[in-house]
Amino acid sequence: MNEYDRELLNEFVTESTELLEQVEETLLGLDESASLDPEAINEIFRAVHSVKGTSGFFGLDVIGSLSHIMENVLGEMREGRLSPEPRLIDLLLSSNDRLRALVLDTESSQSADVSEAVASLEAWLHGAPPQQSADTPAEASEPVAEAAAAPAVVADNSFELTEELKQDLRRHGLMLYRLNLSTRTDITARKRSLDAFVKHISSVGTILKVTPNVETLKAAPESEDHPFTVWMSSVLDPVLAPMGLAIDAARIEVIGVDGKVAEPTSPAAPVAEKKPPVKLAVAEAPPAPAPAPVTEANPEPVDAPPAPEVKRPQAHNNNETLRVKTSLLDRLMQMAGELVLARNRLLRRLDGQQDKIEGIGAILGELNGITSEMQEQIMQTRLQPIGTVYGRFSRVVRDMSKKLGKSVRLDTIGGDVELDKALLEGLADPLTHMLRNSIDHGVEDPDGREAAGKPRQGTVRIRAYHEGGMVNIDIEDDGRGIDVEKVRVAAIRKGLLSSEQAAKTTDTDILNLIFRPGFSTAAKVTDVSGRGVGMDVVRTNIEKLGGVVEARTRLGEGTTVSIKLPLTLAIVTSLIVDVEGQRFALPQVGLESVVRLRPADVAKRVERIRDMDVLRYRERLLPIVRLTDVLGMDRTYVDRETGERMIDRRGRLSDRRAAIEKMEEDTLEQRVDDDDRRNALSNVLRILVLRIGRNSFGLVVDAIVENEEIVVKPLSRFLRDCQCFSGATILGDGTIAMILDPVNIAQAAQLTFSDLSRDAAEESHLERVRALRERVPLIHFSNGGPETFALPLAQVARVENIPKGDVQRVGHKEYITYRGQALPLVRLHEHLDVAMTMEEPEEMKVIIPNLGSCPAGIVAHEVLDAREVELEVDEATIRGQGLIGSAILGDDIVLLVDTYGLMSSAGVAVACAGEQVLQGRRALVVDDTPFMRRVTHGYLADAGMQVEAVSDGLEAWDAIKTGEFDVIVTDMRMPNLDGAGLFARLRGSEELAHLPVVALASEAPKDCQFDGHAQKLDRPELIETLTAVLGQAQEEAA
Amino acid sequence: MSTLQFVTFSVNDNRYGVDILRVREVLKQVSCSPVPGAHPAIVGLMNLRGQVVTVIDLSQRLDTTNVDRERNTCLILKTDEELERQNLLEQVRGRIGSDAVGILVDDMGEVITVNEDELSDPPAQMSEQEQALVENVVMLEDYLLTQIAVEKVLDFSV
Repeated sequence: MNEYDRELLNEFVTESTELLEQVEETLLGLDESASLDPEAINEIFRAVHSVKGTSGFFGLDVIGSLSHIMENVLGEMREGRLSPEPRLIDLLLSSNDRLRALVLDTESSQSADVSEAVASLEAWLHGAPPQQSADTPAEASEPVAEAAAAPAVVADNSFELTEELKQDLRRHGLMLYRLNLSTRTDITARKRSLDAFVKHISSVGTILKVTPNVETLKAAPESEDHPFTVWMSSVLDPVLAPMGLAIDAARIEVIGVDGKVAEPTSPAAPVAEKKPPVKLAVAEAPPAPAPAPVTEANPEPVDAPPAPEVKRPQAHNNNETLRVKTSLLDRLMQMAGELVLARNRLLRRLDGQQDKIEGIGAILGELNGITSEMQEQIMQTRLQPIGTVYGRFSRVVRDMSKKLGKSVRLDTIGGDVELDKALLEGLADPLTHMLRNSIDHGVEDPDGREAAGKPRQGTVRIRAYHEGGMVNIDIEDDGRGIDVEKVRVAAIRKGLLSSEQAAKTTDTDILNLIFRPGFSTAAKVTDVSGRGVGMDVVRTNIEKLGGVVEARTRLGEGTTVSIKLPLTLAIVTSLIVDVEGQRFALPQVGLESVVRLRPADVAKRVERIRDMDVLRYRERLLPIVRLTDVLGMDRTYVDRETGERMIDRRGRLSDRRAAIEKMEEDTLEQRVDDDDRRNALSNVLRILVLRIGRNSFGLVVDAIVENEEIVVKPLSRFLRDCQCFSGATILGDGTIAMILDPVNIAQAAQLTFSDLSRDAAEESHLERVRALRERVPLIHFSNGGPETFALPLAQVARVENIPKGDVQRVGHKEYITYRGQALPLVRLHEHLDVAMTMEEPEEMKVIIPNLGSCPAGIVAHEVLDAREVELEVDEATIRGQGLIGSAILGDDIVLLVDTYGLMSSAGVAVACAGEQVLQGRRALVVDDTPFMRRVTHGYLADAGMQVEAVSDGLEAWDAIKTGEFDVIVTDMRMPNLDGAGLFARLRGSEELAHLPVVALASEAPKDCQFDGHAQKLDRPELIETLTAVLGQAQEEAA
Repeated sequence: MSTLQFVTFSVNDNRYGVDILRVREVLKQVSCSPVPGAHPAIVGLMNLRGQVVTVIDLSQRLDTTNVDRERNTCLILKTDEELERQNLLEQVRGRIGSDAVGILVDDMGEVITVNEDELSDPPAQMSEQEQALVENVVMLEDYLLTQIAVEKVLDFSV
């Protein structure tokens, strides 16, 4: 038997004892009241049934058979087929005693003989109540004598337990004891008279018999030692008896078995002689001194199986453990927590004043130590070995494998790893579910295993161990494993991922999709694991316990699901944070890290994607939310001028960089105020990175106060709706803080991780991808309004300085003379959705775009800058006719002007050479830089081509294989497959070898014979090149 | 004739009473930590000697438009468990469960003993919301005392 089986067995003993005690109590109740309460019978029926069931689990057949027959009898009683007449109750009681004795000594129970008890009960079942027992009490056939066997067996000089006495004992809940004493130890050595002794015993019970009798003992010479035996009944239970009697427990034997009602009978020294019911079966023992252990001198048939009752508990060391109500422990725990808090307050209060009171330092030190130790010890009381849940698993495995026709061995490791009781309870169901899954879906049937070269018997291993202050539990099987590709396919089919995303997502991430709701790859739903509890529920449950769950698999070799859990739920190390002056506690378990961003870094690290603020964190994109927003709290700031707290209405974090949308409404003044506001708020953005399963998100708080061990207090029912909190706690300063629940906060904020993990997958090559992206030279200019604009330098032919007076008006239109021609002017505010220019400078700039011919000039007030930047275009936030999108340039947001769109909305025709050849031709644009891709796409589409655009060589290759193109226009430096690589593939393929490829590069790429090349963003050159290339191809074809 | 004892207090210039058996203690100058997102009647949580007490604003319950939170006298109620421990549960009407609750009021008044036959139904001119939270009224010499049904005050669906 291994250690947790032993542990379990101990539990069985404790539990069964309780159950049987309850049976006894109920039986006694039946004895007295004539009316039968079916519910009471049912209750004890269930209790006995439960004992029977568990004994079967341990293979304790003797206990099983006795409880089985008792159960049957009780069953008949419940059905009303047997009436609870006293003889039957007696029989049941004695059987119950016997059963209890067996349970208390499970080890020897197997060798015990219960056939007589079983037979007597059986007789009742067959409707043949044994009459004779009523007439002749304590007959051998009377089961009481057999089961409770005590008197006959142990009596040194026989003490007969009459029916009447038994009734009396039972009715009053008395215990029957035999005290094996001697005059020397118990009288002389204790310096008391025999009378005083008798009086003392009588004060705690009733003396039924003393052998040799008191007179004889008194008469005996004091100098000699005379053993004597006292029979007594008492309300004291066996544990208390030695104390009450002040007699060594070893010399007290328990004979009877009742105990509850407190009604000590009147004392009287020589009761034994006076009480008529007490009969002596044998003549009193000779008054002469008997040998010390008198037992053997007994002429009675002593060698009958020794009554187990006499041996009472020792076998299982039950007295080493004590059953305590959990609520009591919880209360103790809470109070210990409060004691810690009180200590903290005291220490804080006395901080710096300790010198004033002599010796207080040492006292405080001691108090400190004791408090911590006590808290720890009380926490320990709540810990239980995980082995106690392991027990039920062998059953699960046995039943499951039988049902599924598989052969599975359960291997449990680390049963002594201790966990908080609450955790353990919450763990049982998820573990069972995972176990079922392993057996159902993981382990193959024996033939399948053999075919795969594995032993016919599969193994499922549950392993618990400590690691890094957490408890780890692994459920491992050596089955077929999970086919990640199948999961991938299923994920696509279910629309969780697009095929591209699925291709990019790592195997681990794909595998962990099995924890998503409604995700099942099992080919068939079996009744075993298809019980409506999916792996998503497993994950939810584990996360509720503050844990995380993750799966690993190797196809054909097996699957492992790992759970990580905190040690305890009640005391939690937490980070105390401040939001709007209010404190909140965040359990450390879910906290991945704290990110502090200086204002300058915010722009770099915080972006806005799909209407969510997103933090760039370790090559991932994490959604971030403000705690104030999730909780619906008002955000405030201190107004610099008035010093008042004002409500802050700025919407997004990324507004720190993208305040543009509001600029139209805001006056300049307000913007200044806005800046102040930002400064007035602490300059640093604090983001707690929280982990939920495999996902993380950022939670923005105002300040981080400290780390504190907090005692979790449950929320009252009035606050059940506040999903964002898992409880409350009292902080060191006595104030109350709510405990944040990351899982529900993410839910309340409606964060969508699936999409982000997808984005994150994309972003995981971010750095690599970025390095390959082009740096684009931009000209950055303003038109006098709040916005600033940018154009790629390649699209700009010249910037002319034009004095205000040189502008000529024709109707609504403005012109300047440029190179001897009238050049129409385009004002941005007239065509774009931007603020109007208020004042004209004396001299303005006219940007002449490089569009082949020069259709129009763009009016600017000031050219701010011209430099090369790595461009990331946000096409989503700001868009409109004539704009490509927005981007960050230094600290500014700039709007990228789409020259062609602008010109066409200004009604300026942009002529292009060679368009004839290009009309309707199909081009594939390959560029990893979204901006470039977009611009090139625009050029070609404007030229009348049908354009598709992809972001790298690999995607291009896929597109080419499925679609038809006349020409490929590709960037050279790209991730996954670069321009040269794509070219090589095309040339290496038979059908595609002649597909023209144009490189976007300022010089002809070395090593590759591209059909042509054109500088990026240079429309005329590109169009020219394409015209030449396609024209030539056409000729060749002809 | 059986009598009842009420702990009386005022909220928005009206006098109310609660069965004295239900009241554990009265605290002045309480301070609460608000709970964001909680029901508007919940003022917050209070630390009462290490116990977390949910504090309810009675005035908000009586008149949902009223959100004035200047008051800071708090009536701490005995939970059903506490009453049961003291064998008083049977004598108290209404069950409020096991959560520790405090009710914020304006001012405390005296303890008043009334005969049961002095109790009458709430008058019709009382607002609907108020009627829903009231057990009985007692016409005293100089004012009308309204007996609050705590279990209804704590049931936010009422």
